[in-house]
Amino acid sequence: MNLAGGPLTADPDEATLAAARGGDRRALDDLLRRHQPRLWAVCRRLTGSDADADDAAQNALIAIVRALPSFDGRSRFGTWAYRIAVNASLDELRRRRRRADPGLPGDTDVSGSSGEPLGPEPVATTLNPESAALTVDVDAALRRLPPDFRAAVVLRDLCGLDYAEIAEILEVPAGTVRSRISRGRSALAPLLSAGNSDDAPRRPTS
Amino acid sequence: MTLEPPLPVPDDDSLDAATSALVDGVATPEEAALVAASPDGAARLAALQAVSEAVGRPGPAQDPAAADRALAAALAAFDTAALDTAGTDQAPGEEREDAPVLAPRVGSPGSVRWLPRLGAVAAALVLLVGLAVLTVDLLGRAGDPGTATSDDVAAAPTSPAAGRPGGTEGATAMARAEAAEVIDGGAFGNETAVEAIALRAGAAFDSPPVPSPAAATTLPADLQRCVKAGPSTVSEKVGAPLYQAEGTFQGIPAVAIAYQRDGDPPRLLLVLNRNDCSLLERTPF
Repeated sequence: MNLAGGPLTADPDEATLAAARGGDRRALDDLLRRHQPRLWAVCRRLTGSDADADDAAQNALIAIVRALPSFDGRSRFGTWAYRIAVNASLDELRRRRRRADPGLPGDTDVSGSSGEPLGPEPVATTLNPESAALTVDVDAALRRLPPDFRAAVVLRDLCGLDYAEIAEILEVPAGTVRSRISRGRSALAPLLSAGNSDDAPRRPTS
Repeated sequence: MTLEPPLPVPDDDSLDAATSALVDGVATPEEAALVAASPDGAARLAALQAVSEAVGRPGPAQDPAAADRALAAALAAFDTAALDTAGTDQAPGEEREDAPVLAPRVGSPGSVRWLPRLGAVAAALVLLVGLAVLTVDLLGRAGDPGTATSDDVAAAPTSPAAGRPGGTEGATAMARAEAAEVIDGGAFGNETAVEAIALRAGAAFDSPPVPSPAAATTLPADLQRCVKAGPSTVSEKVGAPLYQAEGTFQGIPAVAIAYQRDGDPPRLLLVLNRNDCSLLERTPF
């Protein structure tokens, strides 16, 4: 699924955005409604739970409203909104980690992360890949991926953003985005490809 | 519940990088040739393509009620900002530094009735202050002529807000009237568990501290912002603030604010980052 809605051209939100920034409440309502489903979808994939995605997406919408006057239009509104949603999701993951019992195996960061003080989320092994819905399998697999890699893969494969846009959102070089997507997909491959088999050739891990 | 370990993330690998670039349609001719020449190339391409398709499949849709709540909260933030900036040259969404402590959430029950009521309270307080000043002035003139003049009294600031941008006696009186409804929990030190702060707050509700004259002033601007922003940091609908305290939470300068909530327990404690009012932790109590 591609949530980006097309190539990088003129911002399709331009007129609505201008009206919203001018104080038009209806335009703001339209703008937020247009983007809310895809922002929630990103939050859902990044946090791995409906409740956390609800909180993250709501915080993102509020942050968008508050920051709207400072939006400079250098990026598309959708890209800017994604950045806010990603940050809100990472904040939500941090809060979840604080609420979690200390000493969980997932509390330690893993190598390959860019210094972000977040490790992968713990996942219940009671999940049966054979019987669970595919969406649960994807969520479970993504939760085991460090958030830096998770965000890059989700923004590319769910949102359909190009490397440059993802680099802007994650505030890292495009080369880093390319590397994270490649390595993130490779890490996920044993879980999500060919019926979760281990047939796919493995690569050395750090 | 048992836990699975994190996925090991592979090192950078030229074949994987080339294959992933092929999946995204951005591979160079050299990368395409590398994949084509590799015995594993076709299998890797199929595997990474499958991952990309799996992650790209739409997940569950958001509960419509939750979506509506989120949208309503965002629009309420817009409305609040519009109210705050009414009569000023601020753009919608900008925070005003000296906003009243308990600025109402627009759209909340009774918010329209709330403003005239507070206005009346503020006017009454201003009138009382004026009468007191006049009385002191008259007594001063009678008992010690020359020590105070009406000009002196008129020129003296009557509140901490006087002289600040946007600070007026009415606004200060309003903030004082509002502050009187909130228990000032003082400082909670350096806490690492929200439950410990909730215990302190609960104790304060059991035996509220006696307010001192010094406490009946406007809160610092950053705390005002957090008191206002608190409800918007959670999806649960909360009511009026009841308690506030300052301290450090897990090494982060923080403010703890308790709000009314529907349900049992009847209060929700939010611990917010004092710098940006983001939510650090929450617990009902």
